[in-house]
Amino acid sequence: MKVSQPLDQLLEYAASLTYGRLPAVAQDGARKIFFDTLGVIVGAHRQPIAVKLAEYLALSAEAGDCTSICGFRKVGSATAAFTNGAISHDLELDDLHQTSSLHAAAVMVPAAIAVGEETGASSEDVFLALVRGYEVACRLTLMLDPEKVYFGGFHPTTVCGVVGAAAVAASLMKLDPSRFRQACYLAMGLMSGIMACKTEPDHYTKSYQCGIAARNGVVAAQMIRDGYTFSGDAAAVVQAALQGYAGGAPLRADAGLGELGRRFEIVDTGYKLYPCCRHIYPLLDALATIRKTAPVDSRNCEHMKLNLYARGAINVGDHSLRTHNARYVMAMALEHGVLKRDFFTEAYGIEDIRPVMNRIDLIADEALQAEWPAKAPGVVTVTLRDGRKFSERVDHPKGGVENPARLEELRDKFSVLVTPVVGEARAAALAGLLAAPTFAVRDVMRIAGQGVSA
Amino acid sequence: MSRLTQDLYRSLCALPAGEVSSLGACLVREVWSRAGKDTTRERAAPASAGQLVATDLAAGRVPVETAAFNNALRFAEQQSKSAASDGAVEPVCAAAPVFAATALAEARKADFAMLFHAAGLGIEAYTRLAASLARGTRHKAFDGRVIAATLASIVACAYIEKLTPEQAAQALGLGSSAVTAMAQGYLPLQAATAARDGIVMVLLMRCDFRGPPDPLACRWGVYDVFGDVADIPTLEVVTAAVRAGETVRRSFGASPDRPAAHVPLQSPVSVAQFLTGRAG
Repeated sequence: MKVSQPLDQLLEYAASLTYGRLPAVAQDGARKIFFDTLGVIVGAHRQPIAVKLAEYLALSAEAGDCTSICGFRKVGSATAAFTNGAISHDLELDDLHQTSSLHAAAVMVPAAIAVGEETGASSEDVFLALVRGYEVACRLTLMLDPEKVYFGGFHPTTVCGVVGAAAVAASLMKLDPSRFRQACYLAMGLMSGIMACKTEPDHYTKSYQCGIAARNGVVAAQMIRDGYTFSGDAAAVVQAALQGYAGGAPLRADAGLGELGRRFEIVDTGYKLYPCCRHIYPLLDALATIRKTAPVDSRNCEHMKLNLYARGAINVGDHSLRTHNARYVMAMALEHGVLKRDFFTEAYGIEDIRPVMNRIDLIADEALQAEWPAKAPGVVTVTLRDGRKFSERVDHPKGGVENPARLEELRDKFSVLVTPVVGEARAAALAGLLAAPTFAVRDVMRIAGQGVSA
Repeated sequence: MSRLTQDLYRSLCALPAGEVSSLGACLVREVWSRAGKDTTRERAAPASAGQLVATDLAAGRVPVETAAFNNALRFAEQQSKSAASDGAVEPVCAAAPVFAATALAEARKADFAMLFHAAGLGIEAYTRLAASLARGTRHKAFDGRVIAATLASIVACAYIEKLTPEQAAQALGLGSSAVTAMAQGYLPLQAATAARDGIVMVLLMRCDFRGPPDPLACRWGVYDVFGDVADIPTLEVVTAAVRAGETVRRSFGASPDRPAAHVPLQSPVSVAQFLTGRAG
């Protein structure tokens, strides 16, 4: 069997999907993903990265019919995918596909919005495209093994996200199955994203990587649409991906093709409610629970011990990237009571909170690790200056598949993010439109693509 | 704290200006003589005031990074085809910094001296990076030439944009964080993406964007992830000799009887005029 055969099977399957034959749970999953991620993108409009991208667009952007939330400019679809993709991950509030560890929506929804707006797509077109993109990107990641990709120093979200973005774009361009496959293989040559982003404190790089993956996926599909032919050796491409991004491990066909047609990856998705790495979520939930019984803050806290499953602790150790630094996040939560995305911008410096961080220990707990990934356990133990001690354990943090965010919570999140940007009336109109049985992407972006003063 | 990336940029900028410019002039001429001249003349895409536009040989005036991408893609495809027929080593990736630098120089109305020097620096960066990445990347099924093409395009554009070494290092960090490097990818597309991203990175830095401060030497950096950190010392030897340029000069087929400064360094014509063939 050729090493590319499982991927070919996956791509053939994804191309064969139709909206009408998707189970309701997949249709609803796509709707929820689109709703949540659009809110996150619009909500990032005033983030420093969005402001800087707007400046960049003023310098150089092709005219087009697609909306960039950065500066509310009309640009070409690849540029819209790039800039909206870069801000979609910036708040660290975008979704997380549980088993592949992909922030799939951060790459795929911007591609869907851009190409959907360009092609005049309906909600059904977009939802189908997202289901296809999730199947391709998440299952490809499972074939490569997300742990191997991550520990090789790569960002799985963008390494495999670019292929998902190509699938989304190809779907919306209504490419036939052969060209759908070609777009995905062409995009594999544009896989990118290294974890050097963790050496930069302010999250620009990690955000930027998602934008590039979205852009490159759209570009690959455009090239195939415009007459290019992928004439490369598919097996050689897959072998190179395995060698480069999975450390030479064999392709995991079973992991990638398991329950094909019965399980839909877009359903296996968690939603984020705190603007930081999800590995810190059990600790934040535990601290919130403790605070319900004791008024813990940075002044009365003598010491805080954080026991976290080891895989998570590795991811959120003392990195320069503060959204992925558990001690920084927990110190800011102690100091301010709430966690705001602003805490991870240039407006706040790590040294200012260092005295609080010095009272916090993060422990990579091997006993808790034994329970992962069935659980994502974290234990917070707080010792107050008066000697009292409080401890709380959380196994399934809020927002994950096992402890899902309620629809009302996602609506609240959307409203909190979108209203300050587009105003109360348009935020309500947008939420209403997105809840309608069908809608046109252009109508959505007509509302989302204007500031509060417009 | 390691500052390899900044040091590399500083070292490149300290190379003898005359030799670098001479090499750049040679390569700019070679690349563009192969790519052809603009036949679209005055066909212009709409652009807002203050926007940076440059010449796309097929489409006329377009946003600067689109010009670099489109020109590099067409060139790379031509070269790939000719390489396939005659077996020669194609300069597909090495040309990326030339296309990036030319588009940005045109958009910024820079003179030829600036363009030649930028292109020369780009090629110097390309040859050093490609050489030092070759061994390690081959083992891991990555293509060091594509990585080098991206970083070299950034170096060339950083010079035109007059970025500080710190800004240049962060531009290199941002670029390398999302560099397309997979072997077996479609090389013309990868090379064109490298040219485009060279411009995008420096324009983002102009807008005060941030990137990893030392992407070559840091953990999860270029050598760590794509190649082998043991090869870093081969890069650190950035001497005053423009030795690597000769290799590229040969691979482009530039013969000694075509002097490097065929286009005068202080040419009075603009880059745009040169591309549109109206310089005579």
